[in-house]
Parts: sequence; C-alpha cells; structure tokens
Amino acid sequence: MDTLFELKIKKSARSSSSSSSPPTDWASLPEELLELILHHINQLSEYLRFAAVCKPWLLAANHQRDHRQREIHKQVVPMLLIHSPDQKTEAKEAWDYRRRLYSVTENKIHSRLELRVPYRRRCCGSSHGWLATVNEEDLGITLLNPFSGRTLSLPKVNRTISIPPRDILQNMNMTLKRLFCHVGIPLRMNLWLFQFIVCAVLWPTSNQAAANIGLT
Amino acid sequence: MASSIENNNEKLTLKSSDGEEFLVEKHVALQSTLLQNMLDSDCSSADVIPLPKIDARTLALVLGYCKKHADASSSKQGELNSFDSEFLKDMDMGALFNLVLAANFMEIKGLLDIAAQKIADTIKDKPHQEVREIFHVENDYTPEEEAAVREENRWAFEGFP
Repeated sequence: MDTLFELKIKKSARSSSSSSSPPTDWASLPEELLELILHHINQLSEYLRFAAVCKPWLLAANHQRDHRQREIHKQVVPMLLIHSPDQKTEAKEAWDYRRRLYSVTENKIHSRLELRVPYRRRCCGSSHGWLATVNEEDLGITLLNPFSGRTLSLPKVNRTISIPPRDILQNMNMTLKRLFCHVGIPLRMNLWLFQFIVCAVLWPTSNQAAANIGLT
Repeated sequence: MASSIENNNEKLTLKSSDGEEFLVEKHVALQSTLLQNMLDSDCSSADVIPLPKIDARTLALVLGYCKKHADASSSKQGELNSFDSEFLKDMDMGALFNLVLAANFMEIKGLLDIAAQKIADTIKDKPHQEVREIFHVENDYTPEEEAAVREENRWAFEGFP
C-alpha cells in the first residue's frame, strides 16, 4: 500500500502499536449501531440469541423487534411441525400429540424441543408464530402460540354466510368485506379506535364461510 | 483520473483525539458525510479539523479505507469488494469497536456497513456465552432472568449450551 497521507506532526514517542487498546464496552454501543448489526442478522434464532447476551442488547433487539421480526418472517421459510416419533401410539390423550420442529433451511430437526399442539382441532393458518385452529363442531377459532403455550379464544360471534365460489377464489378482499358486513361492522367505522383480530374460515366446497372477530 | 489530480491540490488537516495530524486530500475526505457537510458549509476554513473522538490508530485505518474507495473508479468494483473483505479480516475486536464508532461519527456508510456485517458474522452460530467472551460483555442478567429469556424461546437455543 502506498503512502496514504502525510503526517505533518509526529508524536514519535508513541507509535500507535497500542495492542492494549483502551477498554471497549460493546454493551454500551449506541443503540443505532446495535440495530445496524441486527440488520445483518437474518436467522430468527440468531436474533433471539443476540438478545440473550446482555440487557442493552436485549433492549435494542426488543425496540426493533416488531418490524424486524416481521421482516425476518417474510424472508425466512417457516419451520414445519412434525410428529415426535415416540409419541405416535402412546399418546395419553388423542389430542395431546407432541410435535417437533423441522427447519427446512437448516435441514435440522430441533429434536430436544417438543411442542404440544392439540390434535383434535384443524389448523387453518399461521401468522407470526401463532397457529389459528378451528373447532369443526362449533366453528370456534382459537389462536395458539406453540412456543409460549398461550392461547387466545376468539369470542363466538361467528356467522355463516354463503359466498359464490368465484369470490373466494378470485377476490379475497371482496370476501372479507362481505364478511365484515355480515358480521355487522360498518366498514367506515372508526376502526382505528380498536384493535381487531379477524379470522375467517372458508369452505370452498360448500360455499360457506365463518368469521370470528375479537377485540384485543 | 483527471479530476482527482485537480482535487489533489486541495488538502485538509484532520487531528485525532491523541493529537496526531493527518494531511488528507479533499476527495478522500469527501467519503465522510460529516466532513462533506463541514466543507459544504464552509466550516473548514479552520486550519485543522479536530476529531476528538477518534484516536490516531483508528483514524489511520479509516483514512486508508476512504483513500482506497475515493481512488478506485467504479469499474473496479470487484477489486473494492476484495479490499473490503480483507480490510477487517484479522482486526482485533478492540480495533473493530473503535472503527465502527469512528465510521458512525464520520458518517462513512460503506465502512459502517462492512463493520456491522463483520460483527454480525462474528456473532452468528456462536452460543451467547461465547459471544460475551469475544466481545468482553459483562453478563448483567441474573441466573433467573437469563433462564427466563432462554425459556421463552427455547427452540432458538436448541443445540447450544
């Protein structure tokens, strides 16, 4: 490398070979820099382990968790829930099957982690780590977070309506709007005053749909 | 390259926190948004621009990066990429720490990005206990708190001590 710049004044006494550089405090790195580092972390598991290093890192991770996890969720291929091999026959209760996680991208079974996922309910979708399960008998929708075990049952205000099949297939927005109307929420109401969870279960074969709406 | 010869006539002096002065060509200094803004707003009329947060060793590294990027034409992107990957390769964590703070202070986006990438790569695939050791971060969790953080996302710690 050629000479990059000229030193006008030399403080020759101290050559800058200070291998014992002043103490560095990575925990106190400005949050904007911690966030920048987090931007270069793409695996959700790495992100979560980053937060376990120390509290300032946890804070930085939490502060941008919502939008960042959403980004990661978009990029990351979801993990698959698979059977635990030893549970097939000896499950105490039919619905108490245990599952493991299989990461497609890492080609790895998280073998020591077992999640309990009720078997008697149909899983009709997932979002942000939550599974939406539906009870076929009463159409009740329960959200289940298999990691935390938390469940959230939506109030049973479901209505069943008939929808032309082409609506379901061609225009999901239209279908949702119809569901809103049928359940009685005027679309122009001040929706931002409340936070809603809306779940719709569609049966394309019977042209039927049910909507559950809950205030959070 | 004609334009850079012209620019070479203009130089400015930067002073590190430990008092060393660096005579830098203007087009090299322009890699830093901070210095660019100072030059634009004519704050540079002072003889010497002090950089009180950056020591000489770090400033020399930063200016080395700026010089390389300022002199390379856009056709040499491949060469710049390999320069970038070599630049931080064997840097110790203390130097990297000072460098990332300096890049942030001087607003040198490219340098900031490769430094953040380097740090993220160092963290990846390592148990968080080892990350603490590498970065000399004190564990400020109580055992109970740490257990709770792990328990909440048990799957992410699968296969890690």
